[in-house]
This record gives sequence, C-alpha cells and structure tokens, in this order.
Amino acid sequence: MQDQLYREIILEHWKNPHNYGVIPDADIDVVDVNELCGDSIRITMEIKNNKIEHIMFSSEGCAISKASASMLTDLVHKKAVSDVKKITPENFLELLEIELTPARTKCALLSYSILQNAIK
Amino acid sequence: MVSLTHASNVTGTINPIQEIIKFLKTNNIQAKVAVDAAQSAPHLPINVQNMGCDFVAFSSHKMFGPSGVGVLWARMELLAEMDPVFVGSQMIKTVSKENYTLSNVPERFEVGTPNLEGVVGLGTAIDFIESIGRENIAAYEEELTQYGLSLFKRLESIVNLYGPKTSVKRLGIFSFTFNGVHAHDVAEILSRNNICVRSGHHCAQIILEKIKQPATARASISMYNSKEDLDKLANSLEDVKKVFKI
Repeated sequence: MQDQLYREIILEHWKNPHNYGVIPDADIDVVDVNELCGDSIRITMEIKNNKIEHIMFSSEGCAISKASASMLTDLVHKKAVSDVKKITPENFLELLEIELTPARTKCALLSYSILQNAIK
Repeated sequence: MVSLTHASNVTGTINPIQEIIKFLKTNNIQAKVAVDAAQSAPHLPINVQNMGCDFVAFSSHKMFGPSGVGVLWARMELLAEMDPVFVGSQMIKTVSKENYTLSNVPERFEVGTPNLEGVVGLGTAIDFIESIGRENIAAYEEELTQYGLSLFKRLESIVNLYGPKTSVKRLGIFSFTFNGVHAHDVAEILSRNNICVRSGHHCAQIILEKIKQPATARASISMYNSKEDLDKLANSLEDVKKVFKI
C-alpha cells in the first residue's frame, strides 16, 4: 500500500528535485529558516515583464519541505507574479495531496511562505 | 564563572566535573563553577559536595515532576553574599521609609507567590526517584545503554550514532542520523510505531556544527524502558529504510 504521507510523487520530488540549485545574480534571492526545526530554503528567481522567467531553490531539510519546494517551483515557473500571489496556502496544500499534521504543515509551506514574502 | 553541563543532551557524555574543578584549582583559575544537572538528575547519583561545584541547577519536568519548577542549589556562603534579582513579598525582612533589610537565605530569593503545587509535585517526584534508588536506576540504565549501543552497532551501515560508544560515563541518550534521510522524516516514521524521539538541533547548535549535521534524531531512555523498547526502535529504523526505499 502506498504511504499516505510519503507518496510516490513526494519521494520522487525528494530524490530528484526539480529546479534545484541557485541562479547566479538573480533578481530575487531569498533564504529563510523554519525556526521550529531548523529547515532552511533558498529561492532565486529571474523576473521579466512581471513573469517568473526562471526559478530555482536549494534546501536543507526534510523530505516534505524539499519535495514541496520542488513542486512549488514547477507550479509557478513562467507564471505571472500577480497570478502566483493569488495562490492560497490551501490551494498549494491541495496540490500536494498529502495528510499533514500541524507541525508538518509548516514543513510543506516553508517554500510557499518564502516565495510569497519575496514577491509581496 | 565556568558553566557546564553534567551530561550532554545530545551525546549523553557525562562530563568529569570533579576533574575539571581540580584542573581549575591547580591552574589557579579563580572561577565559580555552575553545573547544569537537568539531564543527569533523574539518572545518576548526584553529590554536590563531592562534585565540588558552586552552583547546581536542574528542572522538574525532566525528572517526572510538573513543569514550571526547578532547583537552583548554591553554596551557603555564596548565597549569603548574593542580592536577589527580583524584589517583592517575602524576600523582605523590614521596610521603612528610607530603608529595607533582606530576609535570610533562601527566602530572600523566593519572591512573590510561590508555585506551591509545582514545588510539592517536584518533591513527590524526588521521593519517587529516591524510593527506587539512584544507584539502582543508574545500574539498570547502564545495562540498557549497553544494549542500545550494541543495536546501533548492528545498524551502523544505515545509521550513524554520535557520542561515546561504550556505556561508561554515558547516559542512554542516542543521537543519530540516518544515511540519506533527514531526522524529521526518521522521527515521523518512528512516531507511527509509538516511538517518540526529538529531531532537530536540540537547542545545541554548536555541537551540531561540530558534528557537521543540520539535525539529528534523538532517542532517550529512562528507567521505565526495557530492552524490548530498544528492539522496537531498531526494527522501526529498518522500516525507515522501507518507506524511503533505501
């Protein structure tokens, strides 16, 4: 039976994260830490005509925070900044399709909050 | 002031307090010594006179007592010289328009309404520990620690254990990393088998920096644990392998 939390797709993004790395001299370069657990994520982005032209992340943390960051970068790549702003935490969590406890919700939303703060 | 822990909350190492104090004395270092015994108080016999330190502190919640209360012990001659940090209520002996005098030790440090239920609860917890006997607890836990270390030895191809590899001068605190899997994910899998570990930096960021890890998972044993519990931990670590397909 498939694991409810560590679903196949989550494990796949964890082992082979998409858009992993750092864009040199990026327009936006932000890093933040989940103070509860010490997980950290850095996001770099190139913005052109109010569109996320290129996005990459690097992280130190659990499978959930890394896989969710990978899925988030896929989701927002080439999207208009104004559309990305409209994505609610609930929308994003739905996309992950995993059952999360409140503590693990923080892991899943770490990249999301860093991104939203960066484009505020 | 030299402030150090009696036993590390990350590696379980028991520090040689007496030898450290001897070193300070032979080198003519005029420092007071404060010992954090929060980790050792429920596990080891503690004799502050033999230790030779000046201050000892420990928390109730780590020794089966209620939270929000703890003990700070200090040598009488030091307490007699010290002024209270907070003022009010029973720390005062006399008050006049121009002056006041302080109560005796320890009242002068016990400001305000005391945490009565906390103190009574801690007293009961100490009685409970004493009724079993700290020597008995230490001997039993050393046996468990030895057993736990042998299990971690068996798992060393997938798990890296930190701290001393023998049960001598060591508490049953097992901090480890799992090859390729982050400590939070290890903790998640263990929790499904009702094994509660702490994952993260254990508020000891400098040790984590030293061992070059962002986080470890930590299982701590107490006198209520058994060898079966440790077997369950070892088997659950095998489960981690399965979930993450390692």
